[in-house]
Amino acid sequence: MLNYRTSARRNFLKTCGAGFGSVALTDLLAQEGVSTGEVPLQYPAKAKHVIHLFMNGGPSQVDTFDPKSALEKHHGKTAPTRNLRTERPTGNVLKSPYKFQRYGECGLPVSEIFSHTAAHMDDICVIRSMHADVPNHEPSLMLMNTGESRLVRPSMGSWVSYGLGSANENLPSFVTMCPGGYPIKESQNWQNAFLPGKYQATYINTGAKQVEELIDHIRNNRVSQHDQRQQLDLLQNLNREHASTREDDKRLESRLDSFELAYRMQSEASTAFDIQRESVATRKMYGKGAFARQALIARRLVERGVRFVQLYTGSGQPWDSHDDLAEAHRNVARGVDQAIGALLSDLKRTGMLDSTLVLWGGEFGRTPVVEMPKEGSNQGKMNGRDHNHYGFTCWMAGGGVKGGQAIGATDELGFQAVENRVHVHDLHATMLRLLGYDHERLTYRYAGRDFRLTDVHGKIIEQVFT
Amino acid sequence: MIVLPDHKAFFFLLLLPAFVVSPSDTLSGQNPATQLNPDKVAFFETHIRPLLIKNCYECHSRTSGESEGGLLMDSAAALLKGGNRGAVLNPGKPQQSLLMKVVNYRERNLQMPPDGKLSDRDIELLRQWIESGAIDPRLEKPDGSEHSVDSDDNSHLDRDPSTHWAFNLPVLHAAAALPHADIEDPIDVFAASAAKQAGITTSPRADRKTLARRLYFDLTGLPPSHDTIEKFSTSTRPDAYQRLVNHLLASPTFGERFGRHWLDVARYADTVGYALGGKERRLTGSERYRDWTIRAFSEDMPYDEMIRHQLSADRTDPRNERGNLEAMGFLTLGRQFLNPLDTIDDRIDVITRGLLGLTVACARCHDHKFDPIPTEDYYALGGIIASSQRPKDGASPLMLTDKPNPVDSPVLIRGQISNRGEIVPRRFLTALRDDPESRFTDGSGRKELAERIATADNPLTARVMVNRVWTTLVGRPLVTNPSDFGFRTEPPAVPEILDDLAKEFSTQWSLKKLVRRIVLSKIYQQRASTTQEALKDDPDNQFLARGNRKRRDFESLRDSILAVSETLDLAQGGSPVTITLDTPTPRRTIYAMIDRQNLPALFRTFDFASPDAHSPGRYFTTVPQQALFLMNSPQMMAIAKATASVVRRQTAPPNESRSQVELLFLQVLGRKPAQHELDTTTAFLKQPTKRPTPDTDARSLWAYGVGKVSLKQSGAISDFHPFQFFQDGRWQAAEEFPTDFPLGHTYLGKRGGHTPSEPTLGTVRRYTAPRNETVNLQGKISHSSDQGDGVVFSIHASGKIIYQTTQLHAKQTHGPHIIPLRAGETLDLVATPGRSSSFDSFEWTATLQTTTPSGRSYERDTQNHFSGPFTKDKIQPLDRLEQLAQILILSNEFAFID
Repeated sequence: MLNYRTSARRNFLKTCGAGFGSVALTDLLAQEGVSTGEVPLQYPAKAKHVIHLFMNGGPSQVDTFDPKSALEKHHGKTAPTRNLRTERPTGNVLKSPYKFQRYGECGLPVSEIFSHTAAHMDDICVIRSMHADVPNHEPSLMLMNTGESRLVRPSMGSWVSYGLGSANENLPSFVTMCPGGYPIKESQNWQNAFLPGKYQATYINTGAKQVEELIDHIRNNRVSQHDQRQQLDLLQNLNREHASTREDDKRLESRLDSFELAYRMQSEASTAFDIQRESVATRKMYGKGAFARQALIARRLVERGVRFVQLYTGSGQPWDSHDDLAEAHRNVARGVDQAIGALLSDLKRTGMLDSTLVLWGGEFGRTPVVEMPKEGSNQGKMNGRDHNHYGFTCWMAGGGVKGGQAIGATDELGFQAVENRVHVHDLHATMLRLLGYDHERLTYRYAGRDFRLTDVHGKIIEQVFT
Repeated sequence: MIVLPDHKAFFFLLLLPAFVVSPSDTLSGQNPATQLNPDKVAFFETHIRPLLIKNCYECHSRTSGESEGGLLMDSAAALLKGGNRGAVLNPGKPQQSLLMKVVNYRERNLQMPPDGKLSDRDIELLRQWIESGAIDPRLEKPDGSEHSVDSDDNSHLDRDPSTHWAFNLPVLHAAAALPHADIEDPIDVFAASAAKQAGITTSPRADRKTLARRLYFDLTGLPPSHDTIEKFSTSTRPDAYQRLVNHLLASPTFGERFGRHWLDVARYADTVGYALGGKERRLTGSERYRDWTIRAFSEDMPYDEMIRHQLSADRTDPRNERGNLEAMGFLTLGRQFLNPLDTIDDRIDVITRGLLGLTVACARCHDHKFDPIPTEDYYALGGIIASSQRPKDGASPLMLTDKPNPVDSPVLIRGQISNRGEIVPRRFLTALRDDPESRFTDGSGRKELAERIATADNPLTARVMVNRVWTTLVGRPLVTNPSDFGFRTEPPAVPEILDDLAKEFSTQWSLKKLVRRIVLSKIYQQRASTTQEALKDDPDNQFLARGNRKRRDFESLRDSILAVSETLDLAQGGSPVTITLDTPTPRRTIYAMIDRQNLPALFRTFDFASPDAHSPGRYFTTVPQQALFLMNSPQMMAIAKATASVVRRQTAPPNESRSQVELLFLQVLGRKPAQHELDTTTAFLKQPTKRPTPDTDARSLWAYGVGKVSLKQSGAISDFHPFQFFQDGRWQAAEEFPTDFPLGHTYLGKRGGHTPSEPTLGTVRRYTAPRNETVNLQGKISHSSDQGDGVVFSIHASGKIIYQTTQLHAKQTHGPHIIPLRAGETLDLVATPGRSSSFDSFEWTATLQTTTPSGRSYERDTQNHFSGPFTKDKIQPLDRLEQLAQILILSNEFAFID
């Protein structure tokens, strides 16, 4: 117990050295003396996969999962509390354009724009007291994704891949999907930073639909499978001959294996990404559009062992409704809600929800007060909301999360988290805990110190657990 | 750059240097002369300190200003002393410690922490800690701030640097008598005696062929030609090896090879990273630094001079007369940060880890946890960098100059800008400074900093660089953490080697001499293959008794592939080139565009060094994505063809395939095939191939034109005339636009078009089925003008009208239409003008989901697959010889260097 950490790692290394067999591991990776294989679980855990539904741009909490009757009361008037300083000037209270209704046995209220998701409230744990550091997209995206606003740090998907490793060597362990391009901050959102390159997400532009457009070099139009098989047989031959006088070197064997894996991956990955293999009924259930496609692919990926799947709402920042919020939020929600509802149903139906943590949320929320018009952006409009990092909503479902509850609360207007405040670091700590890690002990030694997803922060939200 | 063999640093907690504590700091009656058990300190640091900070400090610490119940818990002494209710701790006896009672909520009136019981795990940790003696290294300072041996206390900062090997100047060691005639260099003597002492047999020298390959790889990154290998291995000259070494050191490819290693150290990239609002990301002039680096290595610029230029070329070559201002890219080519403090941090890190092997950036928020590097040191360097600026019109875009009014920086307590501490003078690091008061006074102090690094008086500079060079050549580092020579890093197993090399290196700082000395040593030339016994005795090869097999890094792999296919262009320098296109870019990989924001997957897949921060060494992973690239990428297809064609040019029947195989082996692997290899590969060439099913280029399935439509009578489109002109992203009937009646404004573009003026003529967007399939078509139509009589839209297939609608100032979605097509049949999306042909612009987009009888589905899309004229990618399958060329390139023999 005294040196749990070192001895656990030592054991782990022993395991590897003894021919753990996996391609990634036999080639002992090292930088500054640290192995980068999987980290043994530190707690028993239900969650083995994460699907992160990233509502990039910042959905409004008071129009989705955190209704505030006071907004009706004060609509058009000065807020009873001082407007907190956000990115842009804000004005009077703006009520929600949407109706709310209570759902499930838990009776949690949800906005009409998330009616499909709402059907699962008994499985969902809403965290209404999220808060971040600043009201700007870039640093907040970085904070949500990497736990650090400014400096280059590994993304949470990379951390999870590093910790848990791959459950299917024929597929990448961390996949990010975004239709039509990149979100703001681009691939920094899913970077590996100082972790080895293989922990960076495989990014997939789901604007494309064919498997060969989705995954690099997954098909060969110049060598048939038949010929390639014979090529690889010959390669095996040559490599075995070469290895016969170099028996001590495990790297040779693992590189040889990697070609066989790649060969198999061609069909495995094609299958995983081919949603045409789903029944018409299933595809119908997810609905139309890129997000639906992503959600369905996500389910197929976690079924096949992918650890972390991140789905962006769209390129740029789709939820960023500085004006015309009523239509804009409705439209964006329409693109994701049905798919999210279907994903939850589907995971539940297949029993995968128990082992899959679904995380929903943006990089921050929006102000309950109206954003003032500004030349060149929302000129002449007083019907949107500014960014708000003081209080916003995320929710989790599955993977050991206790559904049907709301944690924490924002103030009367929904401006600021006041009760059971949950910082983004706390969300990360909790996520890691659900996956079986102590966020203080999932570390990586780099440049002379042990780094963590939560840096020096993070407290676990105990209430989340079943 | 570097393969690191060993994971010793894992156990750093076990290796924590012993801490000597003074009597007043000890607790529980420990003998002052004894040391705190490092295991127990580690346990406290890992588990107990965070627990106390998290749960107790809020009400029981000096920093919070609270001492509820008269109890402070932020120093060992205070905790031991207890509070109003007396002692809370009874070291060794958790049962009798009040602390355990209150955290277990067993005391009715005292339950801590008050807002919720600790987890069982935390309570258990506390119990174990008390049981094992409640070892607590936290000290108390007169000012009341919390201190400890491990984080904040001065005791380790005050530790004499001379107690750590790396902080002492390297010295020459006397070598024993040369044990063998074969050995000339003292480093070989040191290694041989160490191995002997450890009871390990040393390997003999490798054969000449192996050595040629090894030297080429290490010094140039390229494979030797078969001729070169032959000439070298059959040479009777006694100095053949030396001559080859000299030849390679003189080759420009040496500068590129070692230049690239240095770029890893310098976190080189060609872009600034993320730029707000879509601003330009290209780092102007980045390639100048890259080219300077290559030149410096090629010309064997002394390393001390390299350092001076990189840190202070504004003084050494202010008008860039010798091109040395470009060297300042070392400081200025980092990522662009919004916060200037982060830029400073980036530069401190690249200087200290890169040149000194010290992790000074750790001291940004607190004193270094293990090394004598106080926070003041960080801000002393910070002041130097903050006093430097990029001039508006410098002689190089990479240049830095001193600000007219250099200023010292305050310490930012816990790294927070709002929390300023004392001002620290600009000066060198405490541990490496003789005179504690000496400060830099010349401008920003960068010049003086450079002088303090680039000197034989600095114990780290030469050692760190020698270790880097050694690692690339020998394949394993002498010092396992190449960029952290701090207290926790052990000296090499054979310390005399590093000392000897560093001492000599620091006399002239010649990198070529250093490289030459190492590659001429017996250590370098040993065979990589070894016995099971040796492997068991020294698995990490610490005693240097055998060679280390290396795997080609990304650059060497790619460059070598280009070389054996004879597509390599050895041009030097210039603007970065994109290497991720479908056709191979012939330039060496060092000239590739490095976009640090979105580093292409190809780089990451092959373990390229992260361009975001100084990189102490490369990873060598094995992932299937590497194999996929090598097996399937269009680049590799082109390489396979090029390699085979080299061979084909030189062979003719008879016995063609036999000589082709022989030549291919020579070309790719630099050797002749063995008889059984010849047999299997010639058999492979004779096997019949199966052609790949061609992937359809979806663009080729669409045609654009006008046709005669008779909507009343039949569904057939007659007289289809494809448009001949493509301009401004649209197909049209003639070069001039509008043209003559009836085709006036007629065109088809990506999203829509304009109808002809004749009611019987329509624009036709024609899809031709490549195979038997069922099409599921869905579309969106929009006619925006509110004038005229609208546009008639119709879909035709197999001579039938599938769908027809007239739209005026309206939008319409249609489908899904399920349409079976046989191979070669067409499906036409037709727009006719109605009676009037005015205001007949329209938008019409559609997606077609096609399903083959075998169940494969494809998306065909009017927008995504719209295109102007294009030359169809002529897809030639690889024949057997090309397939064989590819396999030899994929082989382990090609990828590994014995």
